[in-house]
Amino acid sequence: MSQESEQLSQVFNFLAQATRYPQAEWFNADFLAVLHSFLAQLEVEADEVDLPLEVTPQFLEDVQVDYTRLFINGHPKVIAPPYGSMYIDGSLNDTTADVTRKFYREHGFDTTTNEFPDHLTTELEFLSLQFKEDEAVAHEFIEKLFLPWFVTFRDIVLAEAKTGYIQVVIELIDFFTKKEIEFDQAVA
Amino acid sequence: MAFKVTRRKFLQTASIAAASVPLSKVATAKAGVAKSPFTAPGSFADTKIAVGGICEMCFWRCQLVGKVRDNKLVKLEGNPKSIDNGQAICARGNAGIKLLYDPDRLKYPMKNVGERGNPTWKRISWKEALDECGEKLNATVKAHSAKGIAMFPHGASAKYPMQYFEHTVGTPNVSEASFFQCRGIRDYAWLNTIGTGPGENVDMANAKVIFGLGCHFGENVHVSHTKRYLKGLENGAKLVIVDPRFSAAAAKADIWVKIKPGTDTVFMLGMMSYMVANGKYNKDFVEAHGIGFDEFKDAIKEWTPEKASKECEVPVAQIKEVADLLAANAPNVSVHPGRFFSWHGNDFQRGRSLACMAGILGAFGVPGGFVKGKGPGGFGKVGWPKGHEHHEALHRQMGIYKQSPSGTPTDLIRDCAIASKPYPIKSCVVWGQNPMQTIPQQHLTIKMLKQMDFVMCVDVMPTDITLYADILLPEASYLERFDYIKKGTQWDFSDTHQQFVSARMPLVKADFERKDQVYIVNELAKRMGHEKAIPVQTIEEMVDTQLKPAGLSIAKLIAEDGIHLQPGKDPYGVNEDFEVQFYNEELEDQGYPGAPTYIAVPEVPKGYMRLLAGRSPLHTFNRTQNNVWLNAGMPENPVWVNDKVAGKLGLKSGDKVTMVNSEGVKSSSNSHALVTPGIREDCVFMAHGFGSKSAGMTVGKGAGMDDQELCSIRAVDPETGCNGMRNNFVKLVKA
Repeated sequence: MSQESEQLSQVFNFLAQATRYPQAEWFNADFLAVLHSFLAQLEVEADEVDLPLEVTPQFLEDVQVDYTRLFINGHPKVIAPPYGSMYIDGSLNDTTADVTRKFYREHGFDTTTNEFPDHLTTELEFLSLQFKEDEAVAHEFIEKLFLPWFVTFRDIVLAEAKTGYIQVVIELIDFFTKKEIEFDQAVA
Repeated sequence: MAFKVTRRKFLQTASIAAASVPLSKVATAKAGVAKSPFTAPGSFADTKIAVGGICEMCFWRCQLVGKVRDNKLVKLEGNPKSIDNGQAICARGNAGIKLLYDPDRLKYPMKNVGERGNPTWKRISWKEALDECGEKLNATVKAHSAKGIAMFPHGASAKYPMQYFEHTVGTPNVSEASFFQCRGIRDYAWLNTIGTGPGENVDMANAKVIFGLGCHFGENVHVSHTKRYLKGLENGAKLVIVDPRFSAAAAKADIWVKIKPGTDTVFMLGMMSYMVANGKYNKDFVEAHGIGFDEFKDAIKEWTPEKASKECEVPVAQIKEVADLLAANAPNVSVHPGRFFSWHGNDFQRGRSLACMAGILGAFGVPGGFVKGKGPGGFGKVGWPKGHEHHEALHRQMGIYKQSPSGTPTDLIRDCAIASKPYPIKSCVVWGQNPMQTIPQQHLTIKMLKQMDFVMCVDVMPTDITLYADILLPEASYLERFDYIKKGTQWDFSDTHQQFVSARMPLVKADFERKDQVYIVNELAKRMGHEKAIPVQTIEEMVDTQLKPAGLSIAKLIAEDGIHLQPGKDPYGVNEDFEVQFYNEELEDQGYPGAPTYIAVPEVPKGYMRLLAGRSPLHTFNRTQNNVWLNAGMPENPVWVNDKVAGKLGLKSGDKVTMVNSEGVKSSSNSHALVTPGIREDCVFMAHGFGSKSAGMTVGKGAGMDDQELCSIRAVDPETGCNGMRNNFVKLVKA
């Protein structure tokens, strides 16, 4: 495995973690420190992100409330269910979920929890594992199954998220999954 | 946010590992993806048949099988072994899949960190949620005793929690919509006439005449019931439908009686007085089984067809025509008891008049008559024991509503909570019910909820009531859990007699963190000091405990494809001691009429029309409103309006309309007009359950109009305390 693949595997594993529901056991000072460090290495200016240095109870609750509203159940309504099927098929656990699971299996992986295979976190976890196995397959997955829904999802979340944390995480995912050509243009 | 380094450069620096804390160290959650054997491209998972499903898209509960592929439910069908619904299920049954995978469904326990009615949800763990529920309910019990808790349950999953709160916790303030806003009046009217609740146990398949008073057959689709009805028509039964509206059933009727709303009892009395006066009744049956017939005869004689006709606006000739038809075909007449019965606040008397009509026809225990199937017996019971606290229900304290069963009429709970008189009610448990759409006078329901110290809701969907929850718990749906034991007989009594037993089993496992009622209630009980009273540890144990005395188990039912069949018994005939209380002295002693009696309803104010509501075949009230398939089939509830009235209002079919009632309440949404000569000029009709307000119901919100919102005039049945919901008057307004 190349160093680059190892790096990407670690990045996607971190991003998968970052998209889980924030809970005190892991959403703590260590986690935020890594996130800040990560952003620094990407040369993101500190004043460009709305992200505290410490996890206060209020900050944790703010992120939990925002996560719930955006991704689980919201009032007046859930904003952006993090499932591919929602954006491709218009409903939950639909054809896209089946196709995604099939892709995992055809490459020697499967889901182990009762979460649907096209959930954002599950797809990022798969990418983390797949970058260790075969980088080309990982890129194929991003191209065929991830980006077709993530782009729409990303735009909704960036427009609707109320916490800087969720915006940062989505931008990071976008940064590491963007098509190379778009990416080069964006950086240029 | 701008990234000033290129991705490639970043990846080449190996800087991640050098970070103060490596990325891998903080990514600690259990992996949701793991290595597994390769699957060859082009392979498909087999479709498996899961047995033991029992539908709950409505309360008829048809027997299902599920086609499951890769743990995903892809199709629902009737269980081919069923002798009840058979292979048939209705549109709603088919659409259960869309409930299962509805993205708006509740997924995790949530806490409202905002305000009631305008919630801000935060996902919390089950432990946090249950701890808070236990703490808050305990605080209420400590401050106000168990009666400080109100509960509004509905559905099969609510039975276990209802019994816990009523028996073990000890609150009498439990109110089921299925009783107090639906069929309770009917049940007690028949109980006071023939000693048993009627269900819908009429042998329509073998009837010579089917008589339906306000029955919306075909609009309320209950599969085996509809099969009985259609089989009866196929066999040549005459059909009489009494309804102000040319309903689906009226369209098939031999006689459509276009009655003035609210006067149904008068119509029944007019027919019965005519039949009795002219000897057109089943004298042998009445002599053998009738109680108080002379007093009954005396009490109803004033209602000659002529007098009745003036009140109910049915021609004398038609009153006699229907009476003659019933008498000529007695005793093989299905006098349908109805189901949704809470109409006008005078409904107990209507129920009594229907039961007495069946009595004078002798239509009990005979082909076509009122016949209860002889189903299998010998089942075990699972129940919560009585606790230390016992409080008399409000209506018992007040000496009113003497025909109300255990539980408490809804209005009394609400009034008591709002006024804190005679005592405070400070916690509210809502389980599977949406009181915003079941109880008239929504503003009072909101007032009640807002004065509570604590509100918890358990549901599958974010319905209107859930907006008022402090803690909201996601329940496993009927497709994901065990519970209900369904038993009975073949639907057509002219077939070989058979009995069946089935138990609801999950067709797929529950997704996310949805839990069944036994888990939730047991955990609450542990936190409320009732751990030793817990009757079963799991929902599977509950079902097996019920099945065991009958020699059955979950495993045995699965081995028998979900349904156990055994030889049945002939259901026809009545016992010698069977009685029909034409005149009920006990009722008289309680201060109610001994014989069926007409209580006049308020007249329609000038310029208004009476608001009627009923069923639609594609929805079960509010509970199916968010289902995308059913919404596609029926996205809103058209308002039936008479063509002459519409002409005066300048309305045509399809025009968007809204309503305002005589109390000034305006509908918050709109629907479209259905202009037809098939409804009286003094009323409008629409299907109930539409017009959800919760935006969490992304499909159902604002789809059609909510009739309940316009029910601001209270009408309560004096015998039972049940709500009448057809005494409200509206104007149509172009939207």
